[in-house]
Amino acid sequence: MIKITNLEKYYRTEEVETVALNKLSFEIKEGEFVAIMGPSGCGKSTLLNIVGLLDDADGGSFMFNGIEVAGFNERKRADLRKHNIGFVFQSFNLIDELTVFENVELPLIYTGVKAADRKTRVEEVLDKMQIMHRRNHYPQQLSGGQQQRVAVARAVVNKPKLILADEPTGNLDSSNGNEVMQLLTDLNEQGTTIIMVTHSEHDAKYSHRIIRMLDGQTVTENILV
Amino acid sequence: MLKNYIKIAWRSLFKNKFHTGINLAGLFIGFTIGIMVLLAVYGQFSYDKSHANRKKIFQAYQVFNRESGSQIGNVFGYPAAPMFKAEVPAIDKATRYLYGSNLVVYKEKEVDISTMLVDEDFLQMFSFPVAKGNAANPLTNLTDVVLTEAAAKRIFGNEDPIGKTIQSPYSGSKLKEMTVVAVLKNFPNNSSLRFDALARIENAGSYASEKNNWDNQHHAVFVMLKENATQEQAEKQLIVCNKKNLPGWYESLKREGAKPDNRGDIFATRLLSLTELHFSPRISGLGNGVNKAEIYVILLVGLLIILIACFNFVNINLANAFTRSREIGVRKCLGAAKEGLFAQLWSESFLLCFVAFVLSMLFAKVLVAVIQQQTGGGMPLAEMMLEPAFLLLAFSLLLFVSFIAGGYPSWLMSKFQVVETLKGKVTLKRKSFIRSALIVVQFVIACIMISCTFIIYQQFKHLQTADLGLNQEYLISIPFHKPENGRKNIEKLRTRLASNPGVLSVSGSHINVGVGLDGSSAKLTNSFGYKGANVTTNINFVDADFLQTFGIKPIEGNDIDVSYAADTLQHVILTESSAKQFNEKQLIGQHILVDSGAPAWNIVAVIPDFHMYSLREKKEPLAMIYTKNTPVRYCFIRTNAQNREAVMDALQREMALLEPGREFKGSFVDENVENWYKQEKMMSFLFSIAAIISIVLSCLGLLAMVLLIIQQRVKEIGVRKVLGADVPTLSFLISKDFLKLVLIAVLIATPISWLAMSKWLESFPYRVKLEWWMFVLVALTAIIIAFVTISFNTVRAATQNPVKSLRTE
Repeated sequence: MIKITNLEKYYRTEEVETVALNKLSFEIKEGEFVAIMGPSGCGKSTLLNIVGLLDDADGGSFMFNGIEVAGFNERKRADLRKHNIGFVFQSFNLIDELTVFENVELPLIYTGVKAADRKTRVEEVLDKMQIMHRRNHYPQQLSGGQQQRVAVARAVVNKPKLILADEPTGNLDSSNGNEVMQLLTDLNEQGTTIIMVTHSEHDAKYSHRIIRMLDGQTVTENILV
Repeated sequence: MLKNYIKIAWRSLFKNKFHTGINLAGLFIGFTIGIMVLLAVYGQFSYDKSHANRKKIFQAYQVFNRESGSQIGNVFGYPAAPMFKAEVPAIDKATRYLYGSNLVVYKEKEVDISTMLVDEDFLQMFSFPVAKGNAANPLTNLTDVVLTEAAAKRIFGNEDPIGKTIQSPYSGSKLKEMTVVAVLKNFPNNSSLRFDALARIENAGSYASEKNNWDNQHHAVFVMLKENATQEQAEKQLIVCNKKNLPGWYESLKREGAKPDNRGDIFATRLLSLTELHFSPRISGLGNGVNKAEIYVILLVGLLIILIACFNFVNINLANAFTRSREIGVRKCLGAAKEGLFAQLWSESFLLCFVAFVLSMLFAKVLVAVIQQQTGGGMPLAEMMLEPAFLLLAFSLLLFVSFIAGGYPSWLMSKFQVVETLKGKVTLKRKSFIRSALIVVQFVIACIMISCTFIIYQQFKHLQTADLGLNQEYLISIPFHKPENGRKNIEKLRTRLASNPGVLSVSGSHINVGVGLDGSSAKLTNSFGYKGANVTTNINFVDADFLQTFGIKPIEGNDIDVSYAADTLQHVILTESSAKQFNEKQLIGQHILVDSGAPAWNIVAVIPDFHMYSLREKKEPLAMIYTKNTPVRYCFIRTNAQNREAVMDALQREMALLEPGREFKGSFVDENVENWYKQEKMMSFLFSIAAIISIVLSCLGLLAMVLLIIQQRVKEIGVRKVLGADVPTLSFLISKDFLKLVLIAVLIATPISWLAMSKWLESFPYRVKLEWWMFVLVALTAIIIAFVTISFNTVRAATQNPVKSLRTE
């Protein structure tokens, strides 16, 4: 599904150039659950942003479902992203002005799903995430675990092929964290490919494979399953 | 999608109540000013639109290119209009337009009705639809009179006016019997020509003796061109007509040293289109016109205030954008396109603009109703507000503001990089060129407004207190309802008030000084040949004791004595510039024949030039004529400080006996003189309002910006405080960036204000001198106001407990 070859990314300020990704290469197959680990500043989030089509690479190749997307412009990237990729963030990134229902509905609006279908699909996914009773609440009225469940619901409502999770349990206590990890595992078992960036060895154990990074490069790969 | 946009917009506006409040208040003020300005301008452009022939109708005026400069005259002698119609092929119809009288008598009932004397063509040229009576050819007969519906109602009540006989004195004639032949529909106030009744000009008292006299000029002339004729053709043909009928005028002008203008004429009759009449008050002389420049100034002031409100909106939204960057990032992450985000963010701005706009429209409607109630009518502004053309104009204003105010921040926000926003790296820059530029522009506008207010007020004071050459203090002016009885009434007042210690002297004048309660003003000009020279002078008919009453000391000669009433001569006081034109060493006692048909002028005194008219005009030659037959419209009474009010009361009692049942309209001349400068007073008032609004809006914007910047610098303030910074140092640290901007604004505004005000003052022959201290004062005012606004918040921020601010990080 994803084939990355010699991927490069630099951050430049007026005086310093920092290498974030240094000729990075790896491959992820459809249906895999991969954890990416490494110390702060090793390039994990940069990699996730490029894979999520939120950012451009400065060099190398990035094949998504057999299509080279490295040179895509913003519009093409947005289009590919909204139909194929779901995001789960450490800080949930829910929109405070929208209710739970409206937050989950948002990706469907952007992909042009009709209102009646949207209602059914949002309710279905909220039910699945056991958050239906909170549908009319605003994010500030929920606990961290509930907010992350809403974020997962939002990530999966469009039935994406790939979910990118950036430290999804970073802001949660262990019981809520485990719940979220279980949700991701369930989704993976239903066929969704998951790439997760994490600092937690405990969370990484839920994945099939761990890619360890240092200074913008992969150091080791551990296959767990 | 749209529903989603509006929902989000509504919630996010509610979430930021403080900024929404500032934005809403600013936009509300901006829109209200904008709507009122648009309405005022729309009203001015609606003048004379109802006349079907408006593109073919012109007012005639004369241009004399004298050696001393070009002079414009808007009045003609009786022969002019008939001659133009007969001899100028391009002209189809023509009418004279002369003030007739202010009185109509019906069955002993006297009613104040203003009658204009016109020619038969008048109603065929102008579209004043007939509501009742002879619609085909009213004014065919000399005894025909046409009334407006309102006038007919006032004279006849519920009786049918058609065929009824009324009486009126027309321009000095005795009461004439007239028959009402038609009633015209009431017309709105946005008409340059205003009257209650129309009658034929041949009824004027002087008509029989003056009908062939080109020199005695007293009425306006309107012409209508033939279907395919052009203004240029008509003006060329008018020159031919003038040369044929007025060869003497050309010769006299040539002798005087007149210089041809760029069209090669030393004298010409030119035409002013009816569509331009309202915007050419100097040429039309109709009194209700405005200069286009004034309209543009009002438009500009309105636009500048709207811009200040918009800039506040832009600045607050730009600053706020950074607090919403995460939301924008998430949306982009979920697939929102840049265009969609722009539409969403702009719809938020539009929603706020729309709410402010609707509130402003409602408020403007109430304001207009109050204004109309206060002024008792005026323009039909409330109706105009509902006209589709005005609504379209107002809606364009809404679109303009929402694009200017909402467009840029929305565009900027929609361009945010997703990764940066999600990392929380998008923050408000401490110094942004656009933000600084907008604050500078706001303060430039505010400073210009303050300068204009200050200088216009100085000029108004200068005009009001300038020496007119006569003593206007403790001088009372009373208009007579029947000027033909003026002299008799003055005589009676003189006798009856002789024993009143507060009355120092009594005299009369046909022309008022200043604008009294009757609101009337007049100018009479006479031009004649004397020993080969051309004498042009304004004239005024006065009564005995004129110089004593007006406090004018003669250079030579004496005041007009009451005993002169016994003889048949015209006793004349000349001003110095008028006397010079006769080129005589000794004028006192000379008998000068100015018109073969009238008694000779006996010059009794020469006095220094003085201002009979406002200081907007230069002093002009003037001759004050005393004869027992000419009507006098005003009585003047000189009193003193102790008896000012008592004398006014005594006069009111006396006038009730002389003109029973008539409203007493006595007024003090010093107050009337102030009324001359109503326009400047009004302008100074308008600018002061504009200045206050500009400075309040600018400070409101500044306040919001300071608060946002402080929010961003909380940590820095805390760290500096921990390291030992005191409150003044911290306060100065935050204030200095803003004060620098205000200082730049002052530097830019000063030369602009200087130039604009010098240009404005150029139109006054008597004006204040622009001094450097005026601008320094304005600059200090702006800086102090801005400093107070900024310091209030910076001091508060600097006194916060640093532990608290550091913990927030």
